[in-house]
Amino acid sequence: MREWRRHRKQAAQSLAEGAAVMALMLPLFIVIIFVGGEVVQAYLIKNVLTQAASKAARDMSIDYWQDKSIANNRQLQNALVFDRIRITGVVADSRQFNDATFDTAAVPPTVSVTVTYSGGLYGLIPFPQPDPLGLGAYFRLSSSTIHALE
Amino acid sequence: MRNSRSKTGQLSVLVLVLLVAALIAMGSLGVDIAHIVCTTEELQTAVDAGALAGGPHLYEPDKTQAIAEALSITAGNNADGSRVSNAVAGTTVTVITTNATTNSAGTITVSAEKRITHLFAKIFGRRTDVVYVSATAGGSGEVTQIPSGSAFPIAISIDAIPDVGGSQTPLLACQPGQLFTLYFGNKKDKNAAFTSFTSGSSNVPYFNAAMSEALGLTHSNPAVIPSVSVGSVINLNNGEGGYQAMSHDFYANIMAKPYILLPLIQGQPPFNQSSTVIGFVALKITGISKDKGVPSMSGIIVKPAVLGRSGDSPTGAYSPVIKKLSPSTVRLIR
Repeated sequence: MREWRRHRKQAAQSLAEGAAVMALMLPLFIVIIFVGGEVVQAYLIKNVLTQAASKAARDMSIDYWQDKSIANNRQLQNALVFDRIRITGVVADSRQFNDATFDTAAVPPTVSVTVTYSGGLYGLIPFPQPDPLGLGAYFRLSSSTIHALE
Repeated sequence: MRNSRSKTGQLSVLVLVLLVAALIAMGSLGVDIAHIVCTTEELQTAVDAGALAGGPHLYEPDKTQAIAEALSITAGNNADGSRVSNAVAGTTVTVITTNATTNSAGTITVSAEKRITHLFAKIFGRRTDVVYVSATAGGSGEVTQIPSGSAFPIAISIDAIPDVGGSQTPLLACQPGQLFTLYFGNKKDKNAAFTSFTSGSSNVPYFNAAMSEALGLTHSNPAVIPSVSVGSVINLNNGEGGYQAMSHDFYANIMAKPYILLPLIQGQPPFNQSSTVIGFVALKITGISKDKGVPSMSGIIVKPAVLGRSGDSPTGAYSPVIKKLSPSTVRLIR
């Protein structure tokens, strides 16, 4: 009986210590999982931005030889290229693209496109979320691609 | 007794510390894998752009320009925050070309290797890794639209047989690699005609400007030669203006080009009327003459990879012939 009591007491003690340590560690767990997840998501956003910039630059280079005024006409750039590139959660608006930069004096002539992601703008979901430190306002990811003019 | 309680507590702490370590390790692995994926995508974008830039020059006997342009455009792009260039430590870019023949456009392969430094895996002893990507561009699909400034201002009939004596073969009976002569006289003795495309002007200055542009000697903005597609309606001219313009300054330049791109039409080229483009053909010009008063150009039919779009395959009676003769567009093929 005494032995059983001693065993029970030990188990309770162990449980209490475990709970105390867990209470200390749990926030750390959550922070690690959250930060890890957000960093991975940031990389994936960057990945998608690279694809969007690449497609935009390629399309722009192809459209250039049909209508060279596209080089200086943002409306045309929107209509022929930027408005056609939408990637859920990452590219939601043509305003995310900077004006395409054409360098016709380069050898070979090139076009450069930059696309930017800012969480919370243009209907995009805020990033990071939740954002207890208010970092979202400073968070911007961008990707640029250069293509030869075709 | 106190010793036993202390040990139990230590075990709980140890287990949790191990759990945290495992969690950090897994999180780090996830972050580093995402880093690798992201860098690989950026590298792939760079080599894709490089291969596409080099593709149009594949048909040139000297591949220097194809390689230089591929390297230049690849280096214009970034991966993991630095240029994709041999000038950057840890990055290697290589370009391999295969030669074009009369029947194939050749290929250009741009490969890039980059040593990336892990963010967290180095804690566990894995400091760097190498990612490798490659892209191959070549000719694929019959070209159905070519850029402005690139069509030579002469349209060839696919089926006309010129009345110039001897046995003449229409283009549709020819094969890539075969010599073909196009006659652009101003009477019946022709199978080709100068074209001013959609321009109303067909005088010597127009053809001077158009030929200069098609041969890459000048480039106007907007271009003198518009973008031409299968289905475009182009003006055909009697050729005096064109021939006068060509006969002076352009012989050497035409012969030096790896090929010129010519729109195809159907039937005997009509005088000063319009005709519909049904496809394109590329000729490596080998001779220009005005034998017995009939101006002509001879060239070998080639199938380069050219800038342009390949849309729906040509249809109609001449579709197989056009497929056989048509150049292809530059595309990523691997």
